Parts: sequence; structure tokens; C-alpha cells
Amino acid sequence: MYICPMYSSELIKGTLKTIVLNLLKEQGRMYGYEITQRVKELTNGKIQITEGALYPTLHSLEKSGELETEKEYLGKRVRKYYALTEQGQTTASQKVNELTEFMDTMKFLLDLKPDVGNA
Amino acid sequence: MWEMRNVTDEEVTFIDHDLTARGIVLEELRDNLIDHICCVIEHESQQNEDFYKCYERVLPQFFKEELQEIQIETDNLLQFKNFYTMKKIMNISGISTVFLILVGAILKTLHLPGAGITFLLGGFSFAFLFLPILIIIKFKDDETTTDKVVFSFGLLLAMAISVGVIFKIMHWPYANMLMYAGTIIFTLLYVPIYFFTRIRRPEMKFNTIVNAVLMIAFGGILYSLFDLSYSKKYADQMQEIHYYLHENSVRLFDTNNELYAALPANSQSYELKSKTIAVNKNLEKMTELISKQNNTNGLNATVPELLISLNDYNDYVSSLLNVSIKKIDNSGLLVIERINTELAMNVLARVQQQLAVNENAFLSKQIAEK
Repeated sequence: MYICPMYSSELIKGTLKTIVLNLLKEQGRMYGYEITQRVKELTNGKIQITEGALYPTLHSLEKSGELETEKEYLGKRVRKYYALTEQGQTTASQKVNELTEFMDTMKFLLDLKPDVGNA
Repeated sequence: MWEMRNVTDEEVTFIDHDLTARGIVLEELRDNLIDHICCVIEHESQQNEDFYKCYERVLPQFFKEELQEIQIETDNLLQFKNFYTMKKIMNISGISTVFLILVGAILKTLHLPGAGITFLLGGFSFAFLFLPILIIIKFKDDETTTDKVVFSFGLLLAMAISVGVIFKIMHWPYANMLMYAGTIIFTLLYVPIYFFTRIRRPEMKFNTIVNAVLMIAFGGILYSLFDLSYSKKYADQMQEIHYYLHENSVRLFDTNNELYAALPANSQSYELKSKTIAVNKNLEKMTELISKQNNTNGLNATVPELLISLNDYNDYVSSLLNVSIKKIDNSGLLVIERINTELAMNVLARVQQQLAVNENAFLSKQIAEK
């Protein structure tokens, strides 16, 4: 379900929520297609979020109260913009901190020099 | 100059129908996907490419094998939240059930106040929170349908039995029916079904045998406990007391009759005599009925007649203004069909004795005044 040209799906799977939450924190409101394009653009195509992973995550984040939505009608099309709620803001910061710490631990665990890698 | 194409409303409707047909039933998700597909087509299609061809080309990037994967994944994520909450509620209700029932049992044993309500809360959280959530969680497990159905059937019976026990403790109606039906179906139907659906699976054989034996034992013990009222000795003693009271009343009535004969006839003693006889006739009728059928069924039908004569008697007694004659309490008679045989006999015997004593007090006073 996670088709990704550069990194394995296991790596993306654990970080998708963090990516989405942080992106919305910086960009304000976004819709699904915009999120996939923006991530692709920012990572030079190294991380491509698949639709099959993105939408289930968005729906579950909305249900748990991290995201709120706003609908815009374009003819018969409905475009749903996602934005962080107050709770989502906090979660986003927590998730980013957690991931940063995790990456430091991994660097230490795998004995990598700080400048190695391009993440 | 690149000109961006626009997806028309008809094309949107087409996508909508196609996605529905492919199993995207959640409307919110479908709206998202429609917009996403439209964006891809608008931004990434080759110039003058046919819409339908383009759609056919774009769609596979959304899934590995079929589009429904997105729907299933969304459902899973959404339900995982519920699942987690439910497990939490189940744990909390389980702990509170254990706590409440233990505290209720201690209070009941020590005859302290609050035992009933504590038991009730514990029982209800067990029967209506813990067990139902257990059924739902079981249904989401990766087990065969047979196992799920058999397990849920067992839990439903457990619910019926526990509700029955709660009702019994609270002295509410239908308790016996719930307990008996639940236990009988559990032992005679559920346990065999459980046994035969599992015994042929080698890895479960040992557990199945042990569990089946435990459940039969549990059901049997429970059943015999329900059937146990109180001891035979106690019942015999109650009956002896009843005979004693009855005999005394009869002797007193005999003495009273002699007194009536010795005293000069007057309207007051005539009234009292006839009212006493009316009440006593009804009492004897009920006593006879109880000793004939050995239970209190159908007694309610005879109560109204008795009450009429008793009210009549009480009205007359209070008009006599004699402090040694007491009005007769009818509260025991009102619930006579709901109490057991021995207790009912005693209620009747006590009323009868009061009747004889009243009459005797009246007559003694007349003699003293003479």
C-alpha cells in the first residue's frame, strides 16, 4: 500500500502522522493532493506519500480530534481542507520532538557520524 | 502554451459512481478521492488525452490490488480508536465489578446498609458493560465464525444468569425464570456445543475437556443451589408453631362459646360473634387450600373476600371503644401469594389467634362488669 521510490514503506509508515501534522503546522490548511505534492516537492521526490496511506491517516487524525476540516465546493467536487486543531498543534510538536530524539538514538545506536546520511 | 484541462461535472459524477462501485462507501473518503483524482488528471494528463483513458491510467496508483484497500485501511484505523476505548471500558468495568461485588458481599454478610445497591451496581456493570463489550471484542478477533458465535452464545447465557441472580438478591420478579432458563440452557445446550465444536482440534483437546467438566460442575452446582430453599428442619418447626397457634385458637373459641351461653344475650355480643365467625370462615378456607396444595398459588383470589370481612370486623371493633380489643393487621395477607407456604400458614394462624383473643377479651370484660 505504501509505494515509495526511495525509502521503504516501513520507514514511512511510522512517520506519516508526523509528516502530515508538521506540514499542516507550517502551511496552515491543505487538501490531500496538495499534501502529496508538497511532500514530493520538499524531498525532491524521495518521499512520495501514497493516497492509500494518506487518506486513512487523515480520517483517523480527524476522528481523534487532531485535525479539523473545511469544505469547498468546486461544481460537483468537494474539496476538503485539513487544518490543525489546538490539540493537533500540541500533538504535532510532541511527534516532531519524539522523532528527533528517535533519530538521535538511532544515530547513536547504529554508530553513525552526525554528518553521514542526508535525512 | 499548456492549457490546464478541467474535469467536467459529468466526469465527476462518473468518478463518483465508479468509486462507489469499487467499494468506497464512506462518503467523506469518496469526496477526498474524487478531488484527488481530478487534481491528478488536471495537472498530470497529457494534452488532449481522453478523460476515460486518463482515468484508467491514474487510478491504479491508488492501490496495490484493488481500490477497496483504502476503504478497509480507513475503517481499520477508525475502528482501532473505538477498539482501544472499548478495551479500556472493559477493563474499568471488570475491575469495578470485582470491587463492587466483593464490597457488596462483605456488607451483606455483616448486615450493613448499602449492600443491596452495591451488589446491584456490581452485577449490572458485569452483565451490561463487561460481558457485552467482551462479545463485541471477541467478534473482532481473528477466529472462526463458529467459535465467535458459540462464545457469544455462552456470554449471553452468562448475562441471563447474572441478571437472574441480581433479581433474586433484590427479590424482583422473573428471577427464577432467568436463573433456571439460563442455567439449564447453559448446561444442557451450551456445554455440549462448546465440547463438540472444539474436541476434534488436537491443540484444544485438553483445554476443552477441562473447561467442559468445570462448566458442567458449575452449572450443576448453581442449579441445585437455586432449588435449595431453606432446611426441612426449619419448615417442620414452622409447621409445629402453626399447629400450636391453631390449636390454642380453637380452644379459645370453644371457651368463648361457653361464655356466650353463660352471658345474657345482647346485640353487641351478637354482632361481634357473627363478624368473628365471618372472618374465621375465610381464614379456615385459606388454610385448607394451602394444606391441600402445599403452596400459596391462587391464594390471592381468596384474599378480597377475607379482607372485606376483616375490614368490616375492624370497623366494628374500633366502634366498641374497648382498649383490650385490638384491630387486626392485614399487611401479611396482602402479600400472601408472594411468601412461602409456612410463612403464609403462620400469617393466617396469627390473625386467627388475634381474633380469638379479641373475642375473649370482650367477653371477659362483660363478665367483670356484670
